[in-house]
Amino acid sequence: MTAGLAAATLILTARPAQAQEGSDWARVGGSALGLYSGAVLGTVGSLIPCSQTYAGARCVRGLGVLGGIVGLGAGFYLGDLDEDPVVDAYRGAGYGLLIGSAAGLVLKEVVERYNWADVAATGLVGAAVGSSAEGAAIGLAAGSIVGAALYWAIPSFDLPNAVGVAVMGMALGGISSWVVRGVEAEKASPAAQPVVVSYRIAL
Amino acid sequence: MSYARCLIVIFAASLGLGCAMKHEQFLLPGGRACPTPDAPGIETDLSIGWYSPIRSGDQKALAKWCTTVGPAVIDSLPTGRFGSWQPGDSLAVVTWNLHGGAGNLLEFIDVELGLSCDERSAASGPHPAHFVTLIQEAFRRSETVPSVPDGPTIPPPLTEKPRPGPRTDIEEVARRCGLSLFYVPSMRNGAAEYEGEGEDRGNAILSTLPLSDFIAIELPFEAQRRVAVAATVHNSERDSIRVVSLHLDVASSLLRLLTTGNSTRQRQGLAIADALLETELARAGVADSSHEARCYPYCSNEATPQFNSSTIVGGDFNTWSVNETVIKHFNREFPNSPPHDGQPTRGAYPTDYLFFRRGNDGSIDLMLGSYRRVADSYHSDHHARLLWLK
Repeated sequence: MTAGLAAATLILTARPAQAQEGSDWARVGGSALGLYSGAVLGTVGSLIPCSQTYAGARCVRGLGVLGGIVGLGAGFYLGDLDEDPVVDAYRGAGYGLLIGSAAGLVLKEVVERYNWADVAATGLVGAAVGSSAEGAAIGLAAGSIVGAALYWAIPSFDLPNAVGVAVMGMALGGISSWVVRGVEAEKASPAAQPVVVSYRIAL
Repeated sequence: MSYARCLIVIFAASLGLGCAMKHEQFLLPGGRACPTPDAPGIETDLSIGWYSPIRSGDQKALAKWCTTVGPAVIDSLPTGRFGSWQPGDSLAVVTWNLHGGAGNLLEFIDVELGLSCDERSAASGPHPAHFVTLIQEAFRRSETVPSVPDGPTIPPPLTEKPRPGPRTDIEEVARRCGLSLFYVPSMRNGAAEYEGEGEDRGNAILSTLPLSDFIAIELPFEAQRRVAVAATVHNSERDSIRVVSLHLDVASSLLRLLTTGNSTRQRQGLAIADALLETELARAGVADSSHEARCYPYCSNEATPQFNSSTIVGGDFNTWSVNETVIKHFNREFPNSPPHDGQPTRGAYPTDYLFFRRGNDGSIDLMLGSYRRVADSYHSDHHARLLWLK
């Protein structure tokens, strides 16, 4: 009993001092950004592969929704565990928005019929990629290598297909990074550590 | 909890953004006349069955573009003496994107189809085999093309590389060759005027045979106004074949691409299939509101509607792969189509196709092995595709 009370006291006094902690805003913010990022990445990544299927746009929508669901779950889980990665994701989304918008402005100058709505869309895609930049970059690199290899190895595998694999890799990498961040946050979660500490004291 | 409600709202919004755009078509009861039915001297041409998208957003955009082009052209009877198409005679069907005045159509008809359009040789030379050419990006220069200020509904003129020979518009080609013509402009070819004449461009059908049953199908608006054209040719036994010339958009805007799931060509292709189905059902006397009619081609458990006449569809699908969604749908809609040889027709891309559906009577059929890409591009940025029917 005494040991239990001591453990409870330790846990309660330890939590405010922990750097990693979830909050309501982090849960909502993480869920919202995860949903947005996952849905956009799922959509972008499936555009070319799905254009080779009978389902076409229905396939894109399905994978977009799937990406959104994964992002939503991972974002909620991440926000529940820790605020800091959510803040980092928003910061990355901001950078992505700026970079994407700048790229959109360049495209507006060189691509026919590329209008202001397209510039905004480029920025919004940039935000989705930026919120999971590390995973998206790794995925893009891996996808590019696989796409290039298939392009050289299979004659009927043409350049747009190779680009499609690279973009799909970016999307998968980006969505995966939300899951990976959640797993990492769980590993580093303080919620379990005080229990371990209290257990030792109880012994 | 408040954040749970927020999440539901966000999720519902994301699903709403991903909603599919409708592709269904309906027959405009009063027809359509561009630039406007109210323009003096231009009346609605009721000899054309006009199909238009049911979605009001598409209709508004298409109406704006319609005000910038001239009226359709119908010369239903060829003026040349080509004789009738006898059962068992072959018929060449060609699809070709002319790229405005770049493609040398007169030379093409001479070399590939055996009809010299020089007046002297046309009068004395042998009759060529009958043919139907399904043309995309044909241009017409005429005073009937309205004078309009430059703006978002006026695309820039096609960039044409200089070539030997005159730049001949589609009406002039039909006149010089004595061919029947059905031409419906889709859009302007730039805002410029040439001594009071403007230019528009669109799809056309040219033939040595009389044309009838004219149909214009305004495609759902994606990036530019597109109008597919269809007509019917008959042999002397009154066996008929419907011929269709179409041109799909290359791409829509990035925003539209993301919110519709890259459905640009799929939507436009399905719209053409839908309008053709409506037409065939009307011809066969099937109530177009029946469930069987409405669910086709997605109701594979239902009996597939049978069509009385054969149909051949040719055009520039602007695809970068033979496996694209719209091609898969057309292969299903037109089950008797010849297999694609994989050869590109524009740069490295297989953009141009011919599809075929045999009618119930089966009297007109493909000549096996005749489907091919024409090797010479005749200065266009596309190679033509050609097949023979018998």
